[in-house]
Amino acid sequence: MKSVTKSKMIRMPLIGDVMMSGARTVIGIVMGLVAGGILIALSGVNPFAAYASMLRGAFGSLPAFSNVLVRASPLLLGGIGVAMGIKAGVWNTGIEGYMYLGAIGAAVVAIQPLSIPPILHVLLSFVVGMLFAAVWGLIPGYLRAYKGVNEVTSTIMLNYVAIYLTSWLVSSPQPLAEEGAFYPMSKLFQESAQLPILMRGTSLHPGAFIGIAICLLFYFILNYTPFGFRTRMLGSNINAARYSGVDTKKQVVFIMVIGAILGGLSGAIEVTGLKHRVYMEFVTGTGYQSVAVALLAGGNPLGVILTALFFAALKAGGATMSIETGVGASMTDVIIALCVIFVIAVGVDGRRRMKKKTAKAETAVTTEGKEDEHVV
Amino acid sequence: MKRKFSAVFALILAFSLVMTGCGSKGASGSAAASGSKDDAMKGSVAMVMPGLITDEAFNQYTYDGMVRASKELGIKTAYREEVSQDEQVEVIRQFAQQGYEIIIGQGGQFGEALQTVAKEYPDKQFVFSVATDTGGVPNLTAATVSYSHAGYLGGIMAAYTTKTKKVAMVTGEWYDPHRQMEASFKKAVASVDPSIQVTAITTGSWSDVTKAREASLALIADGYDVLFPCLDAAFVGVLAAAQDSKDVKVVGAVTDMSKVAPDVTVGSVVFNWEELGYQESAGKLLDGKSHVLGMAENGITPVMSDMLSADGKAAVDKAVEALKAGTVEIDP
Repeated sequence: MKSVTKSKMIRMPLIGDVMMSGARTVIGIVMGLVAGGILIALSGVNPFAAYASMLRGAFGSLPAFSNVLVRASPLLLGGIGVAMGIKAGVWNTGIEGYMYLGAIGAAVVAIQPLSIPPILHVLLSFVVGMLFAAVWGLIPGYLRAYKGVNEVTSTIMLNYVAIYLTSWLVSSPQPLAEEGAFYPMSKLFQESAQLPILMRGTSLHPGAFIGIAICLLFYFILNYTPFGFRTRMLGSNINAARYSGVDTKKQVVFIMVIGAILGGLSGAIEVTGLKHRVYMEFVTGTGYQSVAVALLAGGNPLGVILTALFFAALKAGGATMSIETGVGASMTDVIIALCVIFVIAVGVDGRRRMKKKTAKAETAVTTEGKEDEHVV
Repeated sequence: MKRKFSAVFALILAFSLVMTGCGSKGASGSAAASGSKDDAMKGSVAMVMPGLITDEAFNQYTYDGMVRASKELGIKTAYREEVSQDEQVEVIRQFAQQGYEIIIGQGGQFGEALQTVAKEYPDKQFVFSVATDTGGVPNLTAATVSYSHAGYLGGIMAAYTTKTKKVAMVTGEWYDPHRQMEASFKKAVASVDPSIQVTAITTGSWSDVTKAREASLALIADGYDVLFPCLDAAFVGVLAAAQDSKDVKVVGAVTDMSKVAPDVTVGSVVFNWEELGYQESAGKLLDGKSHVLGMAENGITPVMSDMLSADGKAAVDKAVEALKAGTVEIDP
């Protein structure tokens, strides 16, 4: 028995080490892309041509890359919101709902003709949006911390409530809604409440840069502040955290509300930056994709920047790919899903290796006979 | 274990290489089509849609209209389906950058995105489809079929069918066109017999079959014996409810429902989405104004089965003439 374990560890030392390191995310992504390529080929399109057009669509020119940044904006903010939760052992899957609430809050301010400087008008919209989302996030946070309600269930349920609430609010005759519109939408935002376009002929708004700054901020908070330490302790061992005097319930509520605020900001930026109206069902899965972003990043804020940009590049490039080569529009989602699945699968493999290593470490201190019993 | 894995991996690689060989044929075909760019792009049309081109609803039929225009006029076409809200501007802009001369946004949710890109590309033509609002942008044209005319004809058919003197319209949610449809439906029913009771309900979903069926059963239990559904995929639920009940009939809208349930469908007002897509793609509407295709413009077609009485058929024919002449006092 022992010899088998030993030979496995020895036979492929290099691959084993690579698997253990952060590179396994990269391996998972590459495998996902290969599998996606096979599916593209099955649909009758040359996968190399398809991926080339995807690359062009994401990085081929400055306007193309600006599309990536626009798409990355909600993923960055939503991703970091979920990542904070992962670090604390809480699954904050309500980003989709927070985005709707943030958008509504922003719209309430943004449609008012206020005689204040544009920067203040935009900031005020953000603050009200974040406030709306924070209140929304308080519900699952409180339920999880004090009533023991599973936060995945409650946040996903509340997402639906938020979606329908928004649909109702932007359908006439509600005060927010545009009258006589052919699709339920809010009134047009005042010009002073619209985010500036940073590059002519594109939709590039500052959202992605705000997102990256916030990811860096949370990297600092998580690693260098008492609050961050408490958060990480909560995630690694909740009993130890409680034993050392952390108010774990309060901490859980905090984490959920912070995630909600970030989700709300993400929604507020999306509506003030892109279309300057809240349309019915304006978020289509971005909130759930940010869960995948955080998952792929392993909850690491710096990883969130990379994975959010990667997802955004896949989405923006995928749009060009389907326009130029005729690959179905849903192929992008399929490729993203494949990447996530492979990264998780490779990760599971890594954990098993971890166990083997510990088993091997134990052999060093025990006699051979004892070790055999141990492993079997 | 490792060996098995590498064997599988090698197989996958080999497989993908073979598939690549097969796949390259299709790609080279499209490359040839985009050859001499200026000539090929003359009159070219790109269509963006919120749903799938196989949905047997307006996405598919307007797309079919574009394909017909392409075949008849020999113009280059492109499309993208399932365009979500966060990518509308980006996708429309990419089509404009690629040189498509007419770009059609299919559905009311494209308004802001079309206006944005239309202002950036004043030499291209944009069509805001299934809408009437151009936002004052000179190179943006709006076009739709007449929901009012559909509602009016549906009302005549329903009024001549009901025995309990109770008819109901069933729709997904209240968008403005459906309000117009409701108003003209009520007007038509009242013009036949003012004592007929008319109601209109929403189910909250265009595609939820179960919800539509349950809402219909509730109406039927309340004594309504003619239902007028204006839904996407959920209309099947209304038909099922009628089939499961006694003496309940359906007046269809959007598609010809007698193809699905001939035993309960007395007639339908068919929305000619295909014609709308054709006229948009063929460049017939590009004047920066708002177009509503009613009876006179072939936007709506009434179809009737033998279950509708001779009087009813005559009344529908009369209403068609009146709508064509524009003598009915309803919205266009």
